[in-house]
Amino acid sequence: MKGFIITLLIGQFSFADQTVKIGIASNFSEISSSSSNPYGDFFRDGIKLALEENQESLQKKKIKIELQEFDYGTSDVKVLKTAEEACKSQVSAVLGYVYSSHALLAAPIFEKCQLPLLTPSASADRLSEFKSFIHQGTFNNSFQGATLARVARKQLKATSAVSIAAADCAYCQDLSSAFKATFEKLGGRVIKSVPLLTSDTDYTSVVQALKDVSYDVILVPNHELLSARIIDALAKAGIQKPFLGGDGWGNVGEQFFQVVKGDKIVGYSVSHWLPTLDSPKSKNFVKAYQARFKKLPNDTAVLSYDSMQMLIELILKQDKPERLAIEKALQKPRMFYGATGKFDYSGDGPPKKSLVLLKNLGDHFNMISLINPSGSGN
Amino acid sequence: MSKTLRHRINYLSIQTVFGVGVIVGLSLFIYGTYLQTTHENEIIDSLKRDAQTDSEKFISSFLLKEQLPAIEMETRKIKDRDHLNTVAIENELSAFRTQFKSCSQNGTFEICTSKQQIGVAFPIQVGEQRFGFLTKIKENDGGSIFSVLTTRMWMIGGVLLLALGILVYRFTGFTSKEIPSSLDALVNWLDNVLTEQKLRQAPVLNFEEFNRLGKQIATLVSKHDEKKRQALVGQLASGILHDFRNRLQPIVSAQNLVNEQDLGSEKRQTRLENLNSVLNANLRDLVGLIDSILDVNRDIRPKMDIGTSIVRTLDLSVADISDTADKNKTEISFEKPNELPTVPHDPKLLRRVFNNLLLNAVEAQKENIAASRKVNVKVISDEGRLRVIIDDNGPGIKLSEDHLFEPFKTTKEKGTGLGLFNAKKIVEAHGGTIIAGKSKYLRGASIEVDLMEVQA
Repeated sequence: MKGFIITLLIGQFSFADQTVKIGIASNFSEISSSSSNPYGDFFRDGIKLALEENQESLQKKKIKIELQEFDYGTSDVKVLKTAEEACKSQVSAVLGYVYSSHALLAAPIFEKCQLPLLTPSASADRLSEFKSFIHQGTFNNSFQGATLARVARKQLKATSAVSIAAADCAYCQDLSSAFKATFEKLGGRVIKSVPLLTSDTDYTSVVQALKDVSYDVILVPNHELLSARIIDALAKAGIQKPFLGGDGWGNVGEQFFQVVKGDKIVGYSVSHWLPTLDSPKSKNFVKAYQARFKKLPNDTAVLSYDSMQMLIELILKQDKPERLAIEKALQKPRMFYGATGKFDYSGDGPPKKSLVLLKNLGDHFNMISLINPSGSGN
Repeated sequence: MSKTLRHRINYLSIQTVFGVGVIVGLSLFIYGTYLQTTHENEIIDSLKRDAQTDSEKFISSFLLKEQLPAIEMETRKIKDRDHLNTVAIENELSAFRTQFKSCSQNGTFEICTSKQQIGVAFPIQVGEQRFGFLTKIKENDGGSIFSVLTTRMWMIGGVLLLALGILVYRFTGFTSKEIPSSLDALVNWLDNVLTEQKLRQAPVLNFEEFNRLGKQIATLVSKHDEKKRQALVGQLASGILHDFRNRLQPIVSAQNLVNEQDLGSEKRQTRLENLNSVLNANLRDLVGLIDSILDVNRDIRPKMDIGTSIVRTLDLSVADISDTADKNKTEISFEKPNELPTVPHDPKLLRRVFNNLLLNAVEAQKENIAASRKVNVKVISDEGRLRVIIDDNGPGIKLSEDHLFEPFKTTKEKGTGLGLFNAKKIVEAHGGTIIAGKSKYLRGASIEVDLMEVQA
């Protein structure tokens, strides 16, 4: 995996004193079988937009930010190798490792080489166990799982659930565990867990596993494409129980709805944000993104945008924005207000921030409510 | 001890079948081994093919405790996908190796084989960090394929060998009968040619080579005959000239005796009379000899005479030969018919014929003891045909009838070979026939002249 340097020459750099290299790590080149594609582009676009919006501020501080890409494709081995490369490079911080499993693989390496990693979207609970150099830009799976469990128990009145989670997906397993913890705490019972692999394409065994089981809801805590295929197979097998999923389903869900097209399903999911969110920052973001990239942004784009905004804000506050300085800034309790809402970094672990509860409606997701970190929502 | 053709062919056939069997067997074994090895290599290649990709699937499961359950699922999936006996993650390979007969390193792979199974181990590692080994074991059906294939091929080979053996057996039977019988036919034909002194067309045989051989023999025989004939012509020419000299020599000698004497002397007169006698004795023979030679090419036109009896002509002929018969101590007997038939004939010509036949009969018995030298002349009148039969006690006729009456064909040391030829011409000019064969009354030859009678 070779990273390559994208140099953004924004405005007049003839008098720039400092060049700060920021690594951006994602799958920029390969098609994923389980997640939406091409999320690398959305990831990069959000970062570029944030950078462009801050050019004036950066120029004032005589700071030039250079982005260096680390492409790990769909290979876990490449995830590890790019992390090693980033450590050896001149980057002051890395933004990326979009999925929980990628972030979990890379985290020990970054921690060891003392390179700050800010992952915009990885939500694995275990990421917060890394006390330094590993930072999350969104809520964790416990919050998602608990929210879904409450929806199942309180709104759907479910007492039993089954979980269909990919065994080779840390995010999926983590979310499933988080759901189970709260669901059972609230009096429900996860009566069956049906494991599968992200590479599976035949779900006959899944259908068979649910055949003689009685349950109220089905948790499908996988990434977008895999979740859609499972739901499609179950719907076609005649299963009409409500489906529950995490932010892995996406919020725009373009590819999700392509797969489940024609299926009569009821699905609830959680996400970070919707383009229709009624906040000035969100609206400005959507408008700027659409103008810049001629397409609607998705959750990957908005999260990377918010993370980059946050990083730039921290860099601007540094005299010498080097690794340790950035790390120190990232460790400080703070508040950040992004397009996706308020990021409360007042405590340890991931930021406390709101999530949106979605329900499928036709060929898109519709927001039901905004859930705040305390668990309450509107 | 020499062997028969059949034995020799059978021996060669057995060698051939055995040799073919060995070659076929060896080829089958080599081919079977090649197939087995090729199949085993294919199995190894298939095990190696996805090893790296598969091993990488386990890395995140080793590093992320959330994904640990995926290890078992992945191994099961690989096993089902590739139809393997076993897929496992091993910390080290000592237990893996004990399942096989032999193991060897091939790059990053460890390849182990045994009769029953083939295994491949590939390290799961990132950089220097090794998590374990991905091992895949598959059934080694190369051996069973080898045995099934070789069994089938042995069966096919056995059937082919059996068919070959039957064909060879048929072939040996065919050649051991056909070849000798064809050779026998060829030899018999040659024997007949040599015996009969007559070149007949060679028989048509089953083998073209023998037909060619027959033609070549026929050509050789013809060449030999021609040479022989030329030699015979030479011999006959010398015989004729010898006869001429025999007749002329006394004349010359008598003349020399006359010339030795003076003219008018009494001795000269005596010698002149002697010369006259010699001339009388020899000139007629010379004329007769010349006539015989000229008769070969000229048409015989008999002057038929009804008045002269055939018996009379025979009497004269017997008288002509009597001196010679007496000299050879040969008895000539003449059986005459009761009634004298009338046979138109040229007495002069037939007298020559009968002279020739009687002379041959006398001369044929030179080797006999005197008491057994007999010539019998018989005249039989039979249904309008007059048959004159001359038998002798000689050794019989050596030439075939076809050759007997050909010109220049003689068995005599000094003969012209024209006697019987001319005799046949004269007899046939009379409308008759002449045949030769074995005598019914005596031990030797019999010549029968058949002439037409005139009905009174």
